Amino acid sequence: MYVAVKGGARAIAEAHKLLEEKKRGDMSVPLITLEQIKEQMHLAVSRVMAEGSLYAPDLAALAIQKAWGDLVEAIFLLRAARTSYQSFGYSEPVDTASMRVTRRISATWKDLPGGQILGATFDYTHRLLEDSQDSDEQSQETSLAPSLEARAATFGLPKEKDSFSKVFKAARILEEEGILEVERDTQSQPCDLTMEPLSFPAGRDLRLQNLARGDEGFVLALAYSTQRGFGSTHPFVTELRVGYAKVEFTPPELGFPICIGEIELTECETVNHFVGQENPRFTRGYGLCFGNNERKAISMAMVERALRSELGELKKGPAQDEEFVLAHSDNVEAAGFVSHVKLPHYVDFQSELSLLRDIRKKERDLKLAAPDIEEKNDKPSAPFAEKG
Amino acid sequence: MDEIVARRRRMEILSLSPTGELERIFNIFKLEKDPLVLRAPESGLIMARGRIAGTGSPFNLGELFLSRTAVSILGFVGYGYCLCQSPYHAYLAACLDSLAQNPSYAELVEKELSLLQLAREKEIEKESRKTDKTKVEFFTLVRGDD
Repeated sequence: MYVAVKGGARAIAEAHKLLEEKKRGDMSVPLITLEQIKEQMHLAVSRVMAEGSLYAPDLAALAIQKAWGDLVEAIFLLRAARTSYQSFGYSEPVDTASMRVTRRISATWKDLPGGQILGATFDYTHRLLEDSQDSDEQSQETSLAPSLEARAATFGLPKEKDSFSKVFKAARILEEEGILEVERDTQSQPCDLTMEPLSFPAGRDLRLQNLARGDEGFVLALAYSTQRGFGSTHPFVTELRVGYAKVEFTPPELGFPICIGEIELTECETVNHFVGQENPRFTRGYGLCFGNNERKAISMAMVERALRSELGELKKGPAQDEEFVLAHSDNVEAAGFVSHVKLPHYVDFQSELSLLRDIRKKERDLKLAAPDIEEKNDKPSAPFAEKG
Repeated sequence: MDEIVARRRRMEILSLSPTGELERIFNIFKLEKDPLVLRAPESGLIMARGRIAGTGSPFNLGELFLSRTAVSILGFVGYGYCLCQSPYHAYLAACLDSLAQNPSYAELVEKELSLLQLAREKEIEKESRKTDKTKVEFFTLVRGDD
């Protein structure tokens, strides 16, 4: 039990003052700007937006700056900020098939129509920590740039307008062959976690919303657990895409949907082991989240698939336990409840302490009253005595 | 029907273009009277939706900032919507939406918007040329004697 305490206001105010000072760091180092965070820490901003469940690059950058770089704290700040705004309703579902892609790869087909587009990726890098601050190196890079471009042209890479930026979904190949389950729009109204608390059993809509805002580390660990045998789903990434999708909204006064802007999204589609006696079909998992967030999207697709109890699979791991996964995925809730144990629990602890002291005192009194019992209890048991 | 198509296109360009550009276009028309604001510019949230497995029923993905406003210029009601915390952008969009409905201004607004669209397409093309250079061909090696 947590009991309210009074006093300490001055110390708290001083602690907050000190925090501001420490957060600023050495005053001779320039203050990091929000533009710098947005431009150079794009993936951190993406994560804060995805788990903060609010697409707002400016606010996410501010939250990262205010949270001293603690992303979970920044996510908390974003969630807190959203509560002060009114809601205007729901967007039309985004059409990820017509996304303007900046990255698109498939692990199932090498010769994919539309091509494998690596985009800006850490894949195939050597993960060598080089000092890129070296100004000489930087100037060399710039001077090399035109000649690299010229060399690329000799390899027949696209020069003129040869846009692959809008590419069709890879899973369609299997859908058209009829060997992959197809999700159809049942026109149902999806549950909304921001309007009503989580309840079980959860539908696929609720699971996806929960996972989209779930902690990346938690979802990643669960996905990993399925690969290590705790409920394997044999995933193949048919397509992983990062890009920009238009968002449409239907204003009541117009009565038809209009585009209101574009957002960056990461989407992962997996094809998983097949089910069904007659007409067996591959099953699928799905991951979609705000920003450039591919580790999260892949993990999400794997966990989403593992949670599909409707396919009648045996439960072999925690990742398949809906209540376990969905009730513990939110890092704002989790951090709040875990961290609250550091707050004053003085009264609570005092009651435990006096209870333990009472028990021990009663035992001592009992021993004083009947010394025989104490001796018997203190003697080593027979087998040890013989060996000794 | 054509009117709806034209308006959808117009609203899209207005929402995707830089605020400074909308301001520049609006300033071309030196209006005598300030636009009548029917709904004060305001920012709020909308819940973005995705589809289960990309094609299925909708699910709620997360929230977005939406700014909106409604104005009237010479009796033509314009609406402004944009995905950011910029009521000013929404205001300019609403003004241009209104002017685009007014036969005396429509042609010029449409011309300017087409130029904005062209500029945006060029920008996207420039980006996608860089992306396209990362397109790869993976080879698989055949093992054993064929």
